Amino acid sequence: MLWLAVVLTALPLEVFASRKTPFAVVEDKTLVGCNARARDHGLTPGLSVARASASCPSLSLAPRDRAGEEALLEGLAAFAYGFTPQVVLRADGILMRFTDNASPVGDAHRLVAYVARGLADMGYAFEIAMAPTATAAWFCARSAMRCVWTSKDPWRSLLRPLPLAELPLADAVRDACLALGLARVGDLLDMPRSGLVRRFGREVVSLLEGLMGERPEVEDFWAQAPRFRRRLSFSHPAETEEALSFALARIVREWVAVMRARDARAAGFTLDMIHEDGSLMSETFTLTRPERDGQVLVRLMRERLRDFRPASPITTVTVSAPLEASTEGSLPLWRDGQWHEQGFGGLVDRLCARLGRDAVRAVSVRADHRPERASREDPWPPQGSGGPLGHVAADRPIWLIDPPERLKVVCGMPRLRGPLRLARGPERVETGWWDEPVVRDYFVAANPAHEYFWVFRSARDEWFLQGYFA
Amino acid sequence: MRVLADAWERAGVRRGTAQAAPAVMPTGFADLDRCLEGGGWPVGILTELRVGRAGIGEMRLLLPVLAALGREGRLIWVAPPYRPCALALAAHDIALDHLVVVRPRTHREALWAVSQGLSSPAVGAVVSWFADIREQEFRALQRQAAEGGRWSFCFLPRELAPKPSRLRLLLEPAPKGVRVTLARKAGRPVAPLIVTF
Repeated sequence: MLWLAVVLTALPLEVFASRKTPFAVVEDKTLVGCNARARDHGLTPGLSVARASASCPSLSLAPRDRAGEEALLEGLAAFAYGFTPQVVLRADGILMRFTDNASPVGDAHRLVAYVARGLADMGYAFEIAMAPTATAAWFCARSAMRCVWTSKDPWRSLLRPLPLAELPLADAVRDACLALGLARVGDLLDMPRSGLVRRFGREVVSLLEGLMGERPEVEDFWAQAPRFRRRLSFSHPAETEEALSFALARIVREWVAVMRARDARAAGFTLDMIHEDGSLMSETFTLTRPERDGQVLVRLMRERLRDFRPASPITTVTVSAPLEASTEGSLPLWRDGQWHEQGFGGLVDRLCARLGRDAVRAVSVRADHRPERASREDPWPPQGSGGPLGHVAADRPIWLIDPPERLKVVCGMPRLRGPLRLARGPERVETGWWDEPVVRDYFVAANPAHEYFWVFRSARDEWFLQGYFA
Repeated sequence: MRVLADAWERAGVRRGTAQAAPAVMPTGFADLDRCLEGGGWPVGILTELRVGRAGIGEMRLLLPVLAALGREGRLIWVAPPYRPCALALAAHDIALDHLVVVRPRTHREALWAVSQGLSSPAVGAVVSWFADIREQEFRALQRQAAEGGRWSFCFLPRELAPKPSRLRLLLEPAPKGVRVTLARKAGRPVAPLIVTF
């Protein structure tokens, strides 16, 4: 058997939307989680609220959301379910059981890397470890070992030097062990078992036997509800659509991971928003074709919330959706509203399939002062806008000519179907010195037929046509 | 009858008596809107635009409507004569991530790409450039534009024989604008006008 343990190290924090100011989660007047900014101020979990607020006045607090954490772990378990049907839910993480050589993605190391990447994509802080017993895997993950031990490794001896701190012992037992000078796992294992039973009780020995794989471990495997449900609370109620869509995008990322893992799709979902005044707003979305493209889902929500002005700030959003078995339909249309994204993906796919990837192009802006490089036409999809638009306000023609065409010059003035009159300019473009120096004076020029051109004079006093004001 | 009408009114029944006007998109130029039937570019019609030479302001005539249509749907440009300048398009409010430029290798591919765009619900407008097009090809595209309910514009060289279009504009350069002759249109004929940018 192989066990993969995943511990969410900042679970109390994960259920809240991330923030850029110091923020901590509180339970019983004690900090149970604090974000990076709070940690910069020297705050750590376990500190009392009074001391924390004293050392960091700008700290904002929120009570711990146990229900949200449970929902989050359920989501995580659903993700894990894609790798193995044997998933165990723990208070702050999950365990996954694999047979020694049956993993869907190859050997143990690849499996761990795969799971870790999935978790990182979902944006969690986590520790991960693999060991041949559940107790050992959990213990190693809690001890931040990041180990991948299979039964071929000398994992029993590797366990011995680990400190007892993260072993799930009762506090009194752990203290007693430390008082006896038993600081490491090995020390405890070297003690005669009968003595340990007499002194600490049966549980400690059972734990050790489970840890070393000397007795089978009994675990309750989690049974999956065929539903995705995720709740996100805002520590500061969200008033803007922006804050809301940020949170929704995060939920959708997880949702997509779960759907991928279970080879499921969403045919519809419900978005519940709880306002500060306690009122509930519920939006139901129906799709004609089961979908699992996160962008489509996010855009769909955004489309619905486009002109959304909540009456009072929103404290919690919940997305819940039944997970539909994946089926490849062919009708790319939404049932309600003017939603076309899906059909567009199909169109681009069709165009690429028939005309070739190169024939379907996107126009984008690059941060380059040379006009012929600032505007790009690359194969689809668009590469995003590479940096700021620079001087957009300046005159730019609709059509670019690349490479520029040399113009005839008569009596010092350029000609293109008649002499050119320089209407506007010059605009000096001087750049690219690091690879190909360019010094150009650009003008908007018109010929007698009122055609407008974008021309430039090079440093050598030659004239070129760079574009048409079409 | 009178009683019945009252009953309908009380029950809030809306009766479709007036025929809905065909959808149009304002051109963005008040003068041109006044000349076009319905006050804008008509939907479901392959608008034929005749240009003697590229670069006379023909695109600036379309950019306002393309910007509006590209906000919701996608824009498909099939075989534009030159490379579009991203900065200029962005300055005219064209959503660049909604613009697809198709570079077909053959005339058949171009026709196919236009027809795909015209029948896709994701598309806001299709703009195409042809050096020549046969009458039945034009008719086929026109039919698809009508079925798909898309806005579509087709640039053709000036010297070609007239195509069976329902809206044909001849464009000529003019000082600070473009001279538009509505060679074929619904409703009364109108005099050529100069659209200034």
